[in-house]
Amino acid sequence: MDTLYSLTHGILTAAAPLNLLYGFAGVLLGTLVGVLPGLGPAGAIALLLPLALHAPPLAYLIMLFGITYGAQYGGSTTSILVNIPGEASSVITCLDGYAMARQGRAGPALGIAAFGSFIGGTLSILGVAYLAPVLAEFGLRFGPPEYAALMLFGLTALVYLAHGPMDKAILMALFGMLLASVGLDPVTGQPRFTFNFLVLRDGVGLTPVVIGLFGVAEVLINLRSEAGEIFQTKIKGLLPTRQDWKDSSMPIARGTLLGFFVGAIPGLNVVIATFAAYALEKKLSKHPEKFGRGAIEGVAAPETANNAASCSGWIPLLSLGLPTGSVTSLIFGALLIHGLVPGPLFIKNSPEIFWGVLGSMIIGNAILLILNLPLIGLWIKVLQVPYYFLFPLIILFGIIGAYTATGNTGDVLIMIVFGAIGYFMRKFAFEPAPMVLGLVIGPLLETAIRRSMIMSKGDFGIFFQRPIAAFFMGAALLMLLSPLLTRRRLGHEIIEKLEEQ
Amino acid sequence: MKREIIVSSFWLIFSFYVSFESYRLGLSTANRPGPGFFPFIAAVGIGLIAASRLINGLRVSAPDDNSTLGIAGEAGLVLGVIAGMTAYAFLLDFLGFLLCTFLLVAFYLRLIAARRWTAALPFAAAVALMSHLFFDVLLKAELPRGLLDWLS
Repeated sequence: MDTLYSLTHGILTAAAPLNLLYGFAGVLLGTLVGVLPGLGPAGAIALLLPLALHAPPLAYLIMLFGITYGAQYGGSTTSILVNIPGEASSVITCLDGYAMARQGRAGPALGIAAFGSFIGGTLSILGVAYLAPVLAEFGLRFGPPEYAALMLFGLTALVYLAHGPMDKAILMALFGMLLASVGLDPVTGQPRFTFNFLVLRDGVGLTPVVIGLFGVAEVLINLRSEAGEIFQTKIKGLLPTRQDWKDSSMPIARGTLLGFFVGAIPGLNVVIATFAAYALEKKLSKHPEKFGRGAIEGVAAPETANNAASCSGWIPLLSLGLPTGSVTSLIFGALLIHGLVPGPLFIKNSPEIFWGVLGSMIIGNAILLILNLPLIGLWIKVLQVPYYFLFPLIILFGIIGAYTATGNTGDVLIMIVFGAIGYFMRKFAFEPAPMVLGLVIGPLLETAIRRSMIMSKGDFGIFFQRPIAAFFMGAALLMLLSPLLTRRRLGHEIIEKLEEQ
Repeated sequence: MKREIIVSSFWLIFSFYVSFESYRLGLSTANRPGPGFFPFIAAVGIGLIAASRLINGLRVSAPDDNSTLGIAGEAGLVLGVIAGMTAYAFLLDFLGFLLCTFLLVAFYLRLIAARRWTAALPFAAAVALMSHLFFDVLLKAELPRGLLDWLS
C-alpha cells in the first residue's frame, strides 16, 4: 500500500509542469538518438551532463532517464523501416521487423513494438517500485568489504558479458580504474599521475572522458558514413489486428518478465534481454520456421524485453549504488553532481527524487506511446539528414559539454584525447563500457578496499569470511574462472548463433 | 598476429611505466595501503593480461592479419577533425565562442565534408548564432566572448 501511495505521489510530482517539460524533452531527445545510428543514449547523456549545474535536480534526472528509455523506442523504428538498428538493443528486431515492412506490414510491426514497449516498460517500473526498496533495506547491512565485493562482482559481470575476448574487457576495466586514480590521493592528498598539470589535480573528469569516448569517437568512426537508404513503403494500420494481439500477447508477457529479471541483474544488459527473449519465443513457437520471415512475435518479444530491462536496470544503481554499464555510470555521475549519493540510503534520504523519477517513467512511457506513432514520418526524415551536417553539431555540443562542466579548456583537451583513444579502442576492438565503469567505481572501490584492509589489518581473507562478501566474491570468481573450464561463456552461444542468423 | 603483438607490447610497456610510478608513490603495507597501492595492482593486472596476449600472439604461427582497419584511408579526415577541435580549444578564450564556432563548422563543412563555401558559410553562421542564443543567452552557460566582448 505504501509503495502504491508513494508511486502515485511520484506520478503527481512528475506531472508538475517543469518536470513534465523536462520529461517530454528527455523522451523526445531519447527517441532522436535512438533513431540516429552513431549517437546512443550514453553519448546524449554525456553531452547533457554539464546542464546539471543549471537545472533543478529532479527535472534534470527525469530528462536523463527519459533519454534512456526513449532511445529504446527510437531504435525499433529504424530497425523495422530501414533495417538499421539505431541501438544495439534493436538489432534483433531487424530480423522480423524489416521482413514485416517488406511484406507491407510496417504499421502493425511499429504498432506492436510501441505497445509492447509501453506494457513492458510500465510493468517493469512497478517491479522496480516494489523490489528496489527491499534491496535497499538489505544493502544497509553492507560494510566496506561487502561493497568492495559487490563492485567487483558488478565489474566482473560486465566483463563476462562483453562481446569480445574477456581478457580485453578486464584490461579496459583496469585501465578505467587507473584513470580513476589520477589526481589527489583520497587519503593522503598526495598527487598521483598529474604530471604537474593543474587540470589533472582534481582527477580525470567523467564528463570529458565520456563525451570523448562516446561522442567524439563515434563521429571519427562514422566520418565516411552515408545516410541510410530508406525502404519506400506506405505505413498504414498502426493498430495491430485482433490476430496480431493474439499472437503477441504471450510473447509480450514473457518478454516483460524476462526483460525485468535480466535487466535487474548487475552486469546483464538490455541487449542480452532482447536476444534471450527472441530465442525463447522461437523455441516455444509452434512454427519456428516463420521467425526471420516476418513473425510478429519476433518483434513483440524483444521490443517488450528491451524496455522492461531498460527500466529494471536501475535497480542495482538506485538500491545498492552500483552502476552496471555506461549509461548507469553516467547517471551515477549526474546524481553525484547534485550531491545525491546512490546507495541503500538513497530511497530513504531522497524519496521525492526516487519516486518522482519512477513516476516520470510511467508518464514518459505513455507520452512515447502517444507521440511516437504519429512522429514516425519525422524520424524517417531525420534519418535522411546527411552525416556531414550532423557531425559538426555533435562535435560542437561535445565541446560545449566538456567546457561548461568546469569552465576550463583543459577539459576540452581531455575530451579530444579520449576521443582519439576511443577511436583506436573501437578500431582494435576494445569495449569502452568496462573502462567507464572502472573509472566511475574506481574511487569507491579503492576506498572500500583500503578501508577493508585497515579493518582486517591487512588480511585479504576479510572478503571471504563475511557471508555477503563471500557470496559476491565467489560469484565473481566463478564468472572469471568458468571460461577456463568450459571454454565458453554462458549465453554467448545463443548470441553468436542469433548474430549469425 | 602482428597487430596483436604491437597492441600487447604497447599495454605491456604502459603497465611497466605505471607500476614503476605507483611503486615510487608508495605502496606502504597491506594493512595500511599507500597512494600507489591501488594503481600498482591495476597496472600489474594490465601487465599480466598484456603479457599473456603477447605470448599467445608470438606462439601462434598464424599468418599475418592483413585485414585493413581502415585507419590509413581515413587518417586525413580523422586528423582534420581532431585538429579543428584542438584549435578551437586553444582559440576559444581569445576569439570567443561565436567566432570560434563559426570557424570550426565552416572548416568542417568545407575541408572535411568537401561542401561548397556557399553551403558551408551560411550553415556555419546559422549554427554559431543558434547555439549562442541557446547555450549562452537561454541557458546562461557563460561561454567566453573573446574578441566580441564589446558587443555585450
